[in-house]
Amino acid sequence: MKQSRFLPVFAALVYAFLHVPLLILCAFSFNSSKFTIWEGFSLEWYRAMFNDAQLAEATWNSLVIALVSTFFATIIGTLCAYGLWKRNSKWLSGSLYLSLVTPEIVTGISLLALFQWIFRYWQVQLGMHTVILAHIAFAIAYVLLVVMARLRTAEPALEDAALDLGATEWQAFRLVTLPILKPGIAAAALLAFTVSFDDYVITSLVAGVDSETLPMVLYAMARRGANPVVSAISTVIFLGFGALILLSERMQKNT
Amino acid sequence: METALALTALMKTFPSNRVVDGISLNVPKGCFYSLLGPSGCGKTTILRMIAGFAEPDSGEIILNGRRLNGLRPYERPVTTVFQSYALFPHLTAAQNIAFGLERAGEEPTAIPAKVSLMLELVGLQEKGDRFPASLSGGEKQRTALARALVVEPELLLLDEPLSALDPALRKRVRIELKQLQKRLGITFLFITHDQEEALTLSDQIAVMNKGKIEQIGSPREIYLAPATRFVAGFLGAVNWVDGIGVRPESTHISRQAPANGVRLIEALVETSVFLGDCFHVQTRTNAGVAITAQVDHDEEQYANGDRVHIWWHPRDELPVRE
Amino acid sequence: MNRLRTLFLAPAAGFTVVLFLIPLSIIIGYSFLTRGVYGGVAGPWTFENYQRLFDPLYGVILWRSLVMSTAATALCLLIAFPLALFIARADARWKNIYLYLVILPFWTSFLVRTYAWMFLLRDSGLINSILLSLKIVHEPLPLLYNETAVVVGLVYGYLPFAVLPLFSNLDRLDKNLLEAAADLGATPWQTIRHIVIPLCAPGLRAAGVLVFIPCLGAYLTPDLLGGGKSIMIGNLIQNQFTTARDWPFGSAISLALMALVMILLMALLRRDGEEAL
Repeated sequence: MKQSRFLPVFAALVYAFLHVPLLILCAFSFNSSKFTIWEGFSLEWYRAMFNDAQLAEATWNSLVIALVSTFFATIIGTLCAYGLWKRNSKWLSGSLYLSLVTPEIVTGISLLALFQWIFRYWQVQLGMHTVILAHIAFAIAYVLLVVMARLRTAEPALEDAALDLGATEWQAFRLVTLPILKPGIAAAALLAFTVSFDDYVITSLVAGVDSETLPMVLYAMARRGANPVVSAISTVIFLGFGALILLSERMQKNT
Repeated sequence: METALALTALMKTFPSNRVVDGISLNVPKGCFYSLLGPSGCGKTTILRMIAGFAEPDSGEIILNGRRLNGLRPYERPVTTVFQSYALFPHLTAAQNIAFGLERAGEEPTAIPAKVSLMLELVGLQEKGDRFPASLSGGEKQRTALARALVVEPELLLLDEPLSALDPALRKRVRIELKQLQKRLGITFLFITHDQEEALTLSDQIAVMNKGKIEQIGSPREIYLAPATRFVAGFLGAVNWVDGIGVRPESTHISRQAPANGVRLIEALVETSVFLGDCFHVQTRTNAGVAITAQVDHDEEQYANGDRVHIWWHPRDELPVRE
Repeated sequence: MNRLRTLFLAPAAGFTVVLFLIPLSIIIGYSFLTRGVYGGVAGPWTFENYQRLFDPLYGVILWRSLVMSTAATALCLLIAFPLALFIARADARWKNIYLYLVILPFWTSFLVRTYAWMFLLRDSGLINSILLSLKIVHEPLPLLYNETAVVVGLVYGYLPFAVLPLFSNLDRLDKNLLEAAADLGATPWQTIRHIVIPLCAPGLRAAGVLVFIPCLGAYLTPDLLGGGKSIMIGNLIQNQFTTARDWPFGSAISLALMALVMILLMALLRRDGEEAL
């Protein structure tokens, strides 16, 4: 096939469009001035970032929430994917996929409505626990997506062979399917973690006063105006997430 | 002879059709028994019902006097060699073979010895530590066999285990498989659609079509004395002349009419097909019937358009009528 | 077997029912109630909230959301198609890298990526700084806080959603078909027009829907990049549940949005079956 020059050039432009804004942001986070004119290299904004107590607490909250919800969502989602793979349940898989396409704002307000309703009868408030519950709920669908994709490429005869050789259904799952599924589960966990860590819309609606997360702080700062500390935070997040994705790719390769 | 497996009036219906329609058969102990039939005839379904992956709608499955209906696959003393081998990719060949022994609660110290023995038996002594991904097709097949045999099942099911191998390898493995079965004395139930395979390997064959059994017998009986037109045609080529069936290898050609005592027809040679070990000469009679005769290399050769006589001995006629 | 399966599905089922289906039902209920005196909800039951959806005041916002989402989707498809074609044609060893480069920005924080555009477009942002210092303009251009900025942000945010299904479709295209076309005398452009594009129509439909739906329900992008003048449905909903404290109306809008989303998905599934997703 004759290749024209057009495609590679176009592709290069698109990649530039995708990556340059972020790279510029990273570059300017090292700018000694807070204006968008380069005035020299400086780590000033990173220092400010590390010294911000509110930021530190928000980051900690985000980490805790992400780790806890990833842990539960991965387990629940994996078991669910396996169960649905064995025999589908239209209402369950339909609901889970629906939750994936439901706009976040709708998910968020519906959860808020639920919690407010519950709090009328129980003496509880919005807080870390409501955020974690919300995160587990929406992360399950992501885990399901990834693990299901993996299961679809699996050979069903393998479990049959295990049963044939004397393994019970539970043993077949534990000894044959689960080990083979490991890379997919790891990738799903990583996805759940990044989705949880990065969430703003749902979190902002169901978080309490004591459970500010990093995206919430970032949002407030971004709204207030030009702030180079935001650039510094962005760079760190960008590098952090980038590293996680590289990790994910590595794990996917070890099939 | 003692019966190992008895199937009685097995029925299995899927929404649109009767996949298994009243199957009854007895497999003697130590027998190499084949279920032969075209795709979709129901043989795979029968296998799955015996193994425990499907339950019959009605009918009994009795193994050595014990009723298997309703038992889970892991409760049945039956193992299977799958068509795709289904080797566990995350375990080595040795670990694959050990799997059944571990599940049976075998002494952990006794397992390695049994696995080694089995690897030797199938000729994979050096390959125990390999993962399935680095085994050849033939080696995978042998590992699957070893894995199923090491637990000493009362019945071994083989689901077209040779179909994924290339023809040359297949012939070699066939012989090894037969020898292995004789040596171990385990009852084999082998399903295939390849009639040559069934004829070579089996002590007994059950020919199936559309969910029913057409005939059960030894390879000789089935080939030389087919009970139905389907069996006759499935096992090899047949010439049907006025309702009488004759196989090409029993059909002779000559220019002059031969001696008495034979059936005789005049025909015109249309074309010759070279099959390697002989020719199949296709002719057409004056009545328009097509007849194929087998001509060996040391016999006279015929050209298209030749007028010839086709003849055969009445004793070579197939007992079944068209 | 069934006991095990029920056990495995129970936790997910529990979460789905309690934290997704029930909240949704509550919202459905609220949409038919009236605004309470102190916010929240109260009787009587009414259709009024749905009638308000047709009020021109809100119709503008709905219309604007549809237009911007369509524009963003169209742009995404136009950009994604050649890119997906490029990646599909690349050598096997480069394919993964090219795909990775598309996915990478998407997986970093959405907030960060949106902020990057604020950084570029605002009056004191980089683009204006450059234009001013090069004396191309004398005053900063109002690049931010308008509908164009939002569309750019949406395209930037959801481009990978368009690239991936298109790539998957193009990658699975039988190369023999392309060779057959060339063999019969078609130029590369003709081959694309008459063979490739029709054959990847399912991919285009999937990509279109996968971009359009999140655009329609977008919140952060119009909020940060659009200022007050270009709010979309998502912002309106959020507004009803916080400042305006009109939960019933907010619920009605949410359900209307959900209905739209579900109609689109059903249409896609009916047309292309489950593999589309």
